[in-house]
Amino acid sequence: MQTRTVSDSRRCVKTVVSRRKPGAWHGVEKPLIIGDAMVAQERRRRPPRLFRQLATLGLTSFGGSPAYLQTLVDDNEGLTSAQYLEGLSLVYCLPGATFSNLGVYVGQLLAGPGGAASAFLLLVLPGALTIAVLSALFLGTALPPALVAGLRAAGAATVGLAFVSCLQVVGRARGSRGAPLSGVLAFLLAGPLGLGLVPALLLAGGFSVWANRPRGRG
Amino acid sequence: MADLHAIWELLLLFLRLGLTSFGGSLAAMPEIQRAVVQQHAWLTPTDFVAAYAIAQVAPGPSLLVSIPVGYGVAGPLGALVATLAFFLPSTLLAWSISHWWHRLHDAVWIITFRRAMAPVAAGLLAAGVLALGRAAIVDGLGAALAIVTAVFLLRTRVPAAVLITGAGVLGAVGTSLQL
Repeated sequence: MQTRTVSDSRRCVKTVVSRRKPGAWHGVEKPLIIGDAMVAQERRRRPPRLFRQLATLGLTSFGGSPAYLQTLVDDNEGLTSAQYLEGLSLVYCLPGATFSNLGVYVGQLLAGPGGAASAFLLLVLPGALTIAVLSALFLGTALPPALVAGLRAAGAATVGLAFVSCLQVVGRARGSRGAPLSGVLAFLLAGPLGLGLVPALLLAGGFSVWANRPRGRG
Repeated sequence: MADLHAIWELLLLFLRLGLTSFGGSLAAMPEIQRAVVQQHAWLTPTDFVAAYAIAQVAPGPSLLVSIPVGYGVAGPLGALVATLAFFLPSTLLAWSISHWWHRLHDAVWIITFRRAMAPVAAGLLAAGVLALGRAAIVDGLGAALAIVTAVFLLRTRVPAAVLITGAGVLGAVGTSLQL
């Protein structure tokens, strides 16, 4: 009995080829789809590293930009850049905090419901506890200048991280029709022109969906 | 004992904001300020600015402003209620849609959405980084730290957490020495 395992990004297929009865399948391999079990096995391997990365992000992601989660992208064994972009596109269409929602998406993708719950807690709890302590100590009074300066400097440094992450995302988002125009349009509407996310999403997204609509053959 | 009516109002306010705030803190903050300062007069404008500042200097989503606002209105219970009301329903919605999304991965309209929205998401992300930069960089030192961090990340393998922590220590020590 020979067992061969084939896996791709979407499903895991285990193929069994019997050598005891040649010709039993007339040269056709009998596929045994055991996707759920193998996906679960894949997920068990990922969490320790994923959770370490998420915990680091939870402690350092000042401002909560979803760009920080770009640091999780590892095209070889973890989150691919295409999956990151897909998640980013999706969470911009959902209400709530884009940072934690994207974390939930990534956690669900890589490690199932437990991964989604862990991602939310790891990304939100450190900041929540910090803010709770600061609120209890300093709300209604002035924060110590050294503390403010330290946190502000750390916050400024994270802008550098967000900028680099954003550069990497922009570099990978050029594969569709009209991509430069729709990307620049979204940036201008939501950024310098200050129209907000919803109008930018509707206008730039509407244009991009129209440009990339399925077209009939011939 | 915390004012139960205020806690109920907090719950309703942040529940509504959590389920209607597309665009993160920049979209939600004016509405929070209007409700908390003008409509209910729970916080003075000065207290609201302090609450906003506390949320900005900590890591994580800036919509965690729900904690100092809730705390200012009704103490620890207010902070807990406002935060759970904001994050729990929208997170559960994001989780359930993510779960369903992965299962429909090969549908034609999802393939179209994926292809079409990637550049739009990148543009929106760039706009968000611009807004983050405007909020977080308030002086020359901040600009210098952001540039140095970006250069180190692009040219070296120094972990981002080390750079960010180092910047924080530098800022705190520098201010202490000036005082």
